[in-house]
Amino acid sequence: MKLDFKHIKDEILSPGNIFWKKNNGTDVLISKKGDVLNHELIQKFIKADYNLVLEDAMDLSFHDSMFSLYVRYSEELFMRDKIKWREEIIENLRVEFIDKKKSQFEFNHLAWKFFSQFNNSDAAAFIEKDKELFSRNVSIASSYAFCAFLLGYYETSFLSNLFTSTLKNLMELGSSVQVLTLKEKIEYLRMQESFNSEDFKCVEEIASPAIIKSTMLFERYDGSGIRQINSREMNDLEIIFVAINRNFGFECEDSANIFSEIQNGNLVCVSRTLKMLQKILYKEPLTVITVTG
Amino acid sequence: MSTDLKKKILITAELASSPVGVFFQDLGFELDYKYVEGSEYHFVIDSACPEVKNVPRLQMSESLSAELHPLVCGRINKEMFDSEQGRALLSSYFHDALEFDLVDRYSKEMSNIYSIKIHEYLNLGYFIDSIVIEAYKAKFDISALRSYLNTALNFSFKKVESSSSTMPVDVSYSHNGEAFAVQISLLCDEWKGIPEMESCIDEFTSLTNYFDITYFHKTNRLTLSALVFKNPALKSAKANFFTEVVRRSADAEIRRPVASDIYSGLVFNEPVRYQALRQVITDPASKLVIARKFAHFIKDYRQRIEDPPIPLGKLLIDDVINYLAHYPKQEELQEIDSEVKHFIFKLLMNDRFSNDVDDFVQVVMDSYPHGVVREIQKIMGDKGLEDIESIIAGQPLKAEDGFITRVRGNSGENSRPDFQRVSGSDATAMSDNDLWELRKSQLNMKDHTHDHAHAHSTQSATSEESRSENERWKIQDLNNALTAEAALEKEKLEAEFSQKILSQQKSSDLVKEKLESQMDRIKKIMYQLKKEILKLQAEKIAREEADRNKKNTDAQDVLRMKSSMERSLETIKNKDYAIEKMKKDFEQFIKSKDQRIEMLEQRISSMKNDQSHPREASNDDKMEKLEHENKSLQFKLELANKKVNIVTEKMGQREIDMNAKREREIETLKGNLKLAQSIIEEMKIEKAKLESRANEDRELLKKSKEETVIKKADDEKDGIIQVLTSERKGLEEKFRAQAIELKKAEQKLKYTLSQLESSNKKKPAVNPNLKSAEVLSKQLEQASARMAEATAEVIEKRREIVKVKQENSMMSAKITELEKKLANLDKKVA
Repeated sequence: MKLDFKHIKDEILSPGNIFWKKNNGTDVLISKKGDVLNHELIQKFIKADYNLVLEDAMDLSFHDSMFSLYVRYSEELFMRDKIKWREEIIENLRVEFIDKKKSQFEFNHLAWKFFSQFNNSDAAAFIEKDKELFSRNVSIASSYAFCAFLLGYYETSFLSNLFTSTLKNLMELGSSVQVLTLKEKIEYLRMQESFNSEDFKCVEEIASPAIIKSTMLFERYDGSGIRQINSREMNDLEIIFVAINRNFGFECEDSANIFSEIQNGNLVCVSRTLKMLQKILYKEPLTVITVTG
Repeated sequence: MSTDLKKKILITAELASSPVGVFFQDLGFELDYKYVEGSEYHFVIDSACPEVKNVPRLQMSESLSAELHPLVCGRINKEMFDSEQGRALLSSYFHDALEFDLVDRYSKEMSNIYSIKIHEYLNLGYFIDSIVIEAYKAKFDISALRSYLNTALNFSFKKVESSSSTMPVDVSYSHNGEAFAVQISLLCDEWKGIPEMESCIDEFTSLTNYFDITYFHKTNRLTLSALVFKNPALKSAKANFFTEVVRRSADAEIRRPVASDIYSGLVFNEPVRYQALRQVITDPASKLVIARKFAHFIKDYRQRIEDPPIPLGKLLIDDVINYLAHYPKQEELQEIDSEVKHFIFKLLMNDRFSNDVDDFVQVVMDSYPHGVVREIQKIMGDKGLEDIESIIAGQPLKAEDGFITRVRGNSGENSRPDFQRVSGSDATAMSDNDLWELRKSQLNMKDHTHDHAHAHSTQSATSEESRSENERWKIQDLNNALTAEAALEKEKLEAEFSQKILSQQKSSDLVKEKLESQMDRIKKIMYQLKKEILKLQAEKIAREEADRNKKNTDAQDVLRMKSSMERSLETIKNKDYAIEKMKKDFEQFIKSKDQRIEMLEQRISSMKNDQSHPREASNDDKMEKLEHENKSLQFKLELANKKVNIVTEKMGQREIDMNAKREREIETLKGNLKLAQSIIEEMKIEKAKLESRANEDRELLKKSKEETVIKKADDEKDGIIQVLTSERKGLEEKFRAQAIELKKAEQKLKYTLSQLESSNKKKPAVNPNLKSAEVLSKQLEQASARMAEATAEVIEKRREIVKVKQENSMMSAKITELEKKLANLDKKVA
């Protein structure tokens, strides 16, 4: 597909692999899928009438239509109409991510479009730190924001802050250690069913006291986490965050998306919250009551 | 840590045999009446062991001493224990303990659970409506639920607005057909306990059957849980719990040692702040008295302090509160609600309210048209204001109790030396002494202020068992006698009061109060006497039942055993459910763990595979990759060359085809020309023939003219001439047509010849038949140009191949460098 600049002018991350097709038939990769886009370079290429093509691309028209829906939803003042827009968004998400099983990468891209307050330079800095780490953290932040949306948090500014602050906190982890060590420790902590004092030392190595105090990154449902908060003391957001944080590792980007994981019951979560999410994602005619939670 | 694994609670001996004791026994608690050092008690019930201060207390009755109120962390009334649904709720509360969640409990295994997050106060109404609609669909009492939600969410939003966080209020609700449960959860920076919601706690508890406040210090989360039963018969069943989960230090034990499998959220000495609920005055008569008291004060205040007093017309309802700010006992102002306030205001507006009896009664009737007031007016007729007020004050809660009756006899006196017998219908059925003793004991027990009149040693009916036959008669007599006596006393008093008041037109406040208090006392005595009678009757019935039960002790034991078995079965079922839940969670955890282990194994195997190959091999791989890339590039080049060859071949073939086509066209044109020439020659021959024929005909005509001899012959000649002329005309026309055709053919020939000439002279076509040839020639030109480009590209590609080869060499150099670096790093790591 030939690249049109208007398709990507509002994007920060590349929606697919962008190649420059030379006259001699060779393809030069300009931007990989998920990389931060260099708009200036691409514009130069297009002005010079170079042949740029987009391959392995996401369905950008779907993203655009979803974004326009989300804008309408956020601008709606009347609760009844807001709920209608919300229904439509959830239905589209269900079709695309559960029925069509689109990738988590596409899910992240949509979340970034909906909720992100970061600019190009921030994203570039994150990717520069470590692409794998960034990919995992974006998956967590995206899943967290969308699950909050499903659970009934309807204020768009709240969701946006949730996404941004989560990604920021996650990217701030391990600032004093090597990226490889950080990834190892995150993976180790992720695997722990419950924590002990040795694990707490590991936590203190990678997380500042402020992050430990303000986030649920190192908590478990049994209350063995660093702040010793059990599932009964957590609210819905905290419960789902603990589950999502444990769900994502440093795996390939094309793993099953979070909605599929929820629908298939693979997400290790408190049964009440999981059932609530499954009920919302389940295909049935929604009513005023069901959409509220 | 205590080694005592028994589940113990402290309870009074009275409650131990009541449904309360039985309930806790069935739950598996051991009931103790005395505090034993070293034992760990989960909680204390009611006023048992008042010396124990470090264990939370559950209040069952209203009459708990004020000292113990700070220890109370839960209140459950009798109706809750009486109902099956209430017992089931309490059972799961105490059984699930720290895991208990009201909304989960009534969610039909999470199928009917809903969650709402409210960000803005503006949307509150919409969400309350949605909850109420759900309750309405499920046929619950929506008025109480709506009131509760309005008050609770208003309170919650006030708390949220005052706190630093901007988290929305989280509302979850569920229902299972028998009860509707709502839980409101909010972030709250600071929680000072129940006093913070003193203004609305009464409403919360009165509107709901179950109300629970829990504050989690660690997460600063306040949770208000409420439940409403569908069954209207359970409206009076109440259970309230006030729990705070304290902040545990980070180095403290993660889990408390579990002393037993049953423990509650109330236990473990969690500091619980609780303030007993103040009594709500609902009796309109009492409200009237309170209103009157305050109205008196205001009136007095206006007369004494204000100079001149503000005109009544200018007073507003809020001025009542302003006046009452000067009231000496401010704690009594708690009794004032909006109704009392309005009452006070009405009384103030009518300035004559305490001067004239009739007017006052009218005021009262106008202000509060209560049946009791009308009854008083009817009975008392011409009695004084104080009497009416005192009767209003002393009215029982229900007018139909029959306390206002006309009776004959003497009214009571404060210092009466002896008791006057009253003649009653059944009084003679009882012996004088018995009646006297019983009556004295009852009076003495209930009211010590009447010592002068009724003070005697208390002799209760201890030997009732032996006197069961006479007792019924005695009770009846006593009832009649006491009612008559009280009525006599009352009437006497009233008569005295009326006389006094009628004689003294100006009644002093002192006298009024004294008389009122006397009337109150009499009323109290009457209440107490009636209660005693009822109690005695109840005791008697109970005794009779006990006698009957003695005969059926075995059957009762069996029944009790059966009921306890059923309860234990229920608890086992609950346990099973909890175990199943835990099992499911555990299985899920195990599944996830297995998946993770598999993933890890896969990773390890892949890592092993990676490690098993030496780094050189990996470099070789890279080299191989590069070579593969080179090969692919070469293959692409070959392909491009092939394409070029094919294009050139095609171009040549196309040229040959074009030439052949042109030759064929020329040949056809030549053929056409020959044909046209032959046609022209034929036409010329025909023309010559026709000319010769015409000449012959002319000669024949000349001959025939010369021979003109016979007319007939002339006619024949004329006919022949006509035929010949017509033939001639036809031939001439034919000739003309042939000439036209000839001309056309000649023109065509000329055109083709000129085209042929032009095509021969110049390649660009003039002849339309040669257009395709021109296009083809153009294409040929383009193809030749492309061929030239393709050859240029081939050259460029060759150059690029050279570059790639150079890059390959560079890469290999880099790889060798990296190898060296890796070797160094390995050394360092080693």
